[in-house]
Amino acid sequence: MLSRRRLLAAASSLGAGGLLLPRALRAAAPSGERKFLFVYCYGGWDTLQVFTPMFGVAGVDVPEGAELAEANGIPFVDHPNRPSVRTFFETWGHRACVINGMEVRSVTHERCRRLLFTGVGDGDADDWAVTAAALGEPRSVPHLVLSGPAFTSKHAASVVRIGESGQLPDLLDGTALSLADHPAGIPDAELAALEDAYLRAGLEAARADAPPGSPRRLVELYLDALDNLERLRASGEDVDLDPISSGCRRDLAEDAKVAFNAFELGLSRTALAKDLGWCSTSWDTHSDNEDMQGRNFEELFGYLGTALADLETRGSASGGRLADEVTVVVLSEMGRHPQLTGGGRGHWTYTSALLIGAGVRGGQVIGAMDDNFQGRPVDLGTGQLVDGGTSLLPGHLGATLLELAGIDPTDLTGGAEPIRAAIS
Amino acid sequence: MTLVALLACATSTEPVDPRVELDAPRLLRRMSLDLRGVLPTESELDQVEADPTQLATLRDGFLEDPRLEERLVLLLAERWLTRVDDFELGPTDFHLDTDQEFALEKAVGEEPLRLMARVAVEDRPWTDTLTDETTVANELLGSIWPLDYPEGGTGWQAVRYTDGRPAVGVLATNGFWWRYVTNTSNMNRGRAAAVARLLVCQDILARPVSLEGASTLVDGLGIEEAIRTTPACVACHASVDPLASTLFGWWTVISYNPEELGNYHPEREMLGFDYLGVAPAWYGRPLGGLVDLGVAIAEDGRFPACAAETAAELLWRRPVTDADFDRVDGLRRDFLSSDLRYKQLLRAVTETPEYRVGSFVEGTADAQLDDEVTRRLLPPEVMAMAVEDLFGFRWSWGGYGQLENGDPGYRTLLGGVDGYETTRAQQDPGVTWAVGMERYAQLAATYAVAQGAVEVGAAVGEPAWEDEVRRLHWRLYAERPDDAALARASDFWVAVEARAGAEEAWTRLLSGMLRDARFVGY
Repeated sequence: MLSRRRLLAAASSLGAGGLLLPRALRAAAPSGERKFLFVYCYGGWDTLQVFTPMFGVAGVDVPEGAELAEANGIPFVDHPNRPSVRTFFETWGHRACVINGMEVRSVTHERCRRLLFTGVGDGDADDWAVTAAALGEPRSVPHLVLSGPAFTSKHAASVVRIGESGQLPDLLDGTALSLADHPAGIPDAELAALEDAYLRAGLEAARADAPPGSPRRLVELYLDALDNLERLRASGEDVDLDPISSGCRRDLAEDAKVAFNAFELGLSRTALAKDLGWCSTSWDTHSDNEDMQGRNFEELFGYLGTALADLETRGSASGGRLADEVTVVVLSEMGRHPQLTGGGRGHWTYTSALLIGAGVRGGQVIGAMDDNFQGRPVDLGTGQLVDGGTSLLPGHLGATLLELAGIDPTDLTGGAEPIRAAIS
Repeated sequence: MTLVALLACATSTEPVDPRVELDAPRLLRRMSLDLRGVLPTESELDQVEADPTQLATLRDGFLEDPRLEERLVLLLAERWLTRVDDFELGPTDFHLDTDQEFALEKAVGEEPLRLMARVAVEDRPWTDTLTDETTVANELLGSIWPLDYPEGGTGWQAVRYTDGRPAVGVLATNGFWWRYVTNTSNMNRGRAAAVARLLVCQDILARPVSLEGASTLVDGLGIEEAIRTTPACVACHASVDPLASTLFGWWTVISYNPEELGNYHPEREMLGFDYLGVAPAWYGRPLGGLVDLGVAIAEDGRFPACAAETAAELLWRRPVTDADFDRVDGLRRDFLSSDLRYKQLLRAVTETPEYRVGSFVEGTADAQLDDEVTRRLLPPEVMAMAVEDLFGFRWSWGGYGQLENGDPGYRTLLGGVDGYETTRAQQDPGVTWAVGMERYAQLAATYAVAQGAVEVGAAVGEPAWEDEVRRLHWRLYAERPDDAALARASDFWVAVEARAGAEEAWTRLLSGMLRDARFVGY
């Protein structure tokens, strides 16, 4: 993070200070600032399996053997093959808010993903998680990407990637130096410190001479990165960044544990974990939809339950309970067609999202699907379905998350307002 | 209206420009890295330092350098996004060893890029990228696909497919269609959108697709009806579907099958009409099939405009905006007047102030300072090229280029593009980048010193020591070290030498220099 001295120097002379100033003016002391774990279900989930009960609606193929259930005020699709879903809503429903009928407004994965995370389909934009991290308190690992996408524009430096197979730990501890056809030994700590000091001295000298704009930004952010790297290393084994697999897939609860560790230590504000579904086959079920989506939801909710139980046991850097500071956001880039075709379901522009935990007004569902399986408009303030209300878009979700993060979303979501009914 | 559309009816004005050009040695360094992927030699730097007018001559020499082809592959990859880490098929599907995985992914992803790069370096019209009868393949691709690759041959060569596919350049490459896949509900529409975006800069997918208010969509037939009759749907599908209909020779009926995915299927070309209900066409121009598509695009006025816009984006290292209209239109006109020679386009882009900028005059608006990229971050693959040229070192491991893939390698962590989840090269250093750079520099420096690429015999206080440090500064940064820089290097070298000896001191010094902002930036 920027030192106050460097920041003030930069702000006074940098035309590009707009990138740096807001961050610097915020308090540096750790607080109970809200944190976010994003769980991204890659490929497009079938909301009919859990979130959008549509029993008895003509033309909608509902899951065979499923029935309507309710727990903690949340109606959901219950199925004997998915006991974890029922257990989840029975245990955590009072802290969960389901958002239905959100239209992503595309049907291709790449575009939907970008739209869901940023609210815009083309051009550069920082996603919700990156924005919350970058505009939050200064942290050494602002946005921890355990796996999955990070869309960046102005705040790329806030993103810390673990790597799809956990390469970051290898880089941190020097194991990577042996993963080479021409390996090198891990430098002696004293020599490494000398090299770092030499590098920093050069960067400090360069900063003094660098013209405003990207030359100075590069040097400033490089110095920040070195500071943050030092802090990350100092956290040592408190944050084990190695991903853990369970059977033929990555263990999402373990990913959550890594994120919570980083939150506990005050290293990170946001984290992202990608869920690739059963045996990493993804949620994109153009065939065998019912079986595969069923497996995916059963595993997903099992992992979420485990993660939330873990969260309850943790304290935060501010001295409070971590559970009172963390919002879990579960989302997928698109929904699936209401009708089965050859056992699969095509893409659908409407999807759902699940918010759980801190700041969330739980025990409710906001939004719904109509008989054409299109989203119904809502009153953003009350969450009630109203004709002439607002049709939910990713921008509304983003505005809600930024509001939860204590960030004014006005200029960041293209005018979309928060779903205030989702906020406690 | 997109910039490309505006360019079709352009007039030109010349605004006052607040940009200050880089000094000649550092501009030469930028050009050398952008056009041939290596640092300029000391001799070349000496030339432009003594006579900055030599810059153009040297730049023109870079455009004739054999490494231009390799560099263009990397440059175009940032736009075409075909150098991905995974395709539907892997080495075992072709009875190859699993340690061929990276080689296979790299070769498949590079096939369309190699073809374009070859057209560029051979100074053929850029339209050849859409009409060429050949592709460019290496021995690995020659062993798995229906190509007339010469028996016993090696390396990237111009060869022909033998499965009856039309002569449509990159649109006839397996590598392109393996990256841009489709399925039974998408029906080649995503592929059509990719073609439009990449070749005429029309991003169809940027338009919102909303089902709100449509009344019969639950029924699958309702969607097909809406596509044909609902104005909001027709607006896109009227252009997408005929283009998608052109692409059914690439249709597969068995998933994950090497024969299906490796071959073109002329007998399936007519499926487009059956499945989509429309005949092949390119934006209203009827086509006999894929065979006509390349020419149709090549004759579209948006094609050269898009090539100019793309080249500007890739070399300016930032998105082109409407504010760049005049400049990009100038590039387009220049490109047209050269009969669409890509080298001339590259040359023209390197003449633009947006490319040559190193700083701004005092008082320049914050917005411009924020948006312009006056110092770029070296993409990992280019760094790999440059360091290999310098020291002979390439970070490879078990068949993988560690800066050229995201798993198990470090391409994404070092700011590179993986084609799916990262689609724009990172310009700002972060924690992951910093630690990745640290390890890469340590490996490269260790190798370089062990191989004698640095003169390690001299000690601080001896003229040879200072000469070597001065040489490294000049070569690595295109800057002469001042006394303070020499003093920092000297203090560091002495401190390490006292603890671990001269060889380690040179290793650490070189590692620190490779991590320096003046090396990783350009």
